[in-house]
Amino acid sequence: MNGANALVKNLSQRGIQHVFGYPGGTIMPVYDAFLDSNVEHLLCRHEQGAAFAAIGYARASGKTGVCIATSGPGATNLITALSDAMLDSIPLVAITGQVPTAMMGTDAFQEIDILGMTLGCTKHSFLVTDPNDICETLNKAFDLARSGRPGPVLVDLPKDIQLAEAHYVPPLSVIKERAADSFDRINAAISLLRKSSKPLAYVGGGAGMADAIDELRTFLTETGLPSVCTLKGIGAIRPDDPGYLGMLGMHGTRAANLAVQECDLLIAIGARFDDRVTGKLESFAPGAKVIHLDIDPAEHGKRRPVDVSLCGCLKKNLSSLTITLDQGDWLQHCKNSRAASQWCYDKPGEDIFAPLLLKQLSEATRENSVISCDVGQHQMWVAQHMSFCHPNNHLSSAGLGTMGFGLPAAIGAAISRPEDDVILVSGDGSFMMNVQELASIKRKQLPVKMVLLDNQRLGMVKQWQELFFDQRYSETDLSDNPDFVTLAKAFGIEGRIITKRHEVIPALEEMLQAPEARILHVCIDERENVWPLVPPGAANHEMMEARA
Amino acid sequence: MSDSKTHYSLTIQCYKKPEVLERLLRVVRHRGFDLESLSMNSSECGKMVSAAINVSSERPIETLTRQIEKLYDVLDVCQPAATEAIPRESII
Repeated sequence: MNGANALVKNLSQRGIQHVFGYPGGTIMPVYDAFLDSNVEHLLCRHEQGAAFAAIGYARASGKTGVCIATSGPGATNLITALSDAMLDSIPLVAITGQVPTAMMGTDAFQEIDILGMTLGCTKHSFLVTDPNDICETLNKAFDLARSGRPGPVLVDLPKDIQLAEAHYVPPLSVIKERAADSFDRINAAISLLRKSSKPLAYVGGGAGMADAIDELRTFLTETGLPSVCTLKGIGAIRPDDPGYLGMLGMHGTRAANLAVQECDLLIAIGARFDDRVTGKLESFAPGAKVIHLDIDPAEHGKRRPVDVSLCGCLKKNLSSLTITLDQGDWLQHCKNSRAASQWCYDKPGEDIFAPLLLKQLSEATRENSVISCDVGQHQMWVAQHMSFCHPNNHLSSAGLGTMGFGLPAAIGAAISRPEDDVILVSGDGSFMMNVQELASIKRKQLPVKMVLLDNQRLGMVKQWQELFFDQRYSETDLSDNPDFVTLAKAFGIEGRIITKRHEVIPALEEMLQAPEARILHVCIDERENVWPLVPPGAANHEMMEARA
Repeated sequence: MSDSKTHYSLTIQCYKKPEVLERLLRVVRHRGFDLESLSMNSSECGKMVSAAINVSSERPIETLTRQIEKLYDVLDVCQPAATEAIPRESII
């Protein structure tokens, strides 16, 4: 068999059912091989859309996503999504065509040094120069994408290598089971826990990535620790956990941020002290010792000194740290703080209030629905006002903050979890960034529901211009948006527009009950901002609140 | 500015791949270190490379060594007076 057939057979035998991509000249042998394979290829309408669909597939299912593109522009169009997967630690394998080896380095048609270009946005990248290495390289790529801290891996395949006769090697994984940390380290952490009078769990995306949700929840229940989470950690802690205080950081809850500032021990679980989490680093959790559980040693001490580092298996480490503690007054204090800072939804007037709409959407959806968001104000409102029972149900571009993430990620989720509802919450700015993927919804007749919160502005940028740039609004007016319902209609997707609050619940119900894709175009007030807000350079307790 | 920087020497053992030096130097730059000097030798078997680099930065050297240790083609990073060593198998 030729190299392309060997590659596709290897994909098939490792259980890859779906790949997302776009064909072109140098990847044609692989596309030819797909015709004789049971691997289903979803044609997206842009390589960036394909890669984000693969990310959505991976995030919603916990599997490794696969995307594929041709050389040159096809490959460069993957780069934003590879960067997104890099910053959010998403297991992704990208396969790119390359010009024939004899043409490489000659500035051939559609030649670009994609290996060189992706050094900084992949966990690793391979250039295959021997057809007999194709399968073994693929085996390494899939292992690398999942092992340790997950991430994107690129495999660049020159066209002559795809066409040459190749040895077939079946899928083989050599990922070893990770051990727990030593007794000494675990005991040091337990000692800190026992000595602490105000301990707090700070949970990030690593808990879900490590498949440690059950262990985390048992740990929180047994220790009685109050807890906060990052944007990517949302869903790891049960929303009804008595000590759960919500998201921390720039748009976190007042209760979460104040608890972090007050605690005397911070147990960071699969989190990395991101700048959007910490605010002014020197003032973050100023009186706290730190136990840091994270699989990536490079994260330990990177931004915050650590008292006990635990890099081993998170599931085992959390089980070892599960002891009975009496949180007494501290837990009650946190609960009181949470009760005193409940969200307020009784906004006067008849205009649609986006936070309330999202709360109502959350209440109307089934528990295991997937919500995919884009980036901006609506993304923060989703994080604040919707409830999630598992991190795989909340798809949000956290680290890179990529507008245009939501629609293709929702497509990937709909492919990987056809039994569950998939709902996109987008903004009018983000939606237009990968709007071509409406064609992918049409092509596969995917029942994705789209809630488009339209304030005719680049809302988050406008909010910052209002607050920090003297209300000098530069290029954030989108009042010349297209008619979104008509636009969707062109792709065979029905929808409606709503402008008043009393229309919300009937419109949500109609959308959710529809068996096919729907768009709900929601007109909201452009003056509405995201609160609270920790201004840039401020400490997390210095939150700005909505003006009365 | 350079007065506040600390100078470090590192020796890095890695597989001989065409792009391995690019990977190494990209991490050095991106993580906030200035490259002062570099020397590189291939092993007799032709499969390994030893790179000795001198770098300077205001940042602690562990912020660099731990990122270099994560590179797939890197086998070992040696630095005099290194901080607590983390086993290689716990990184990849």
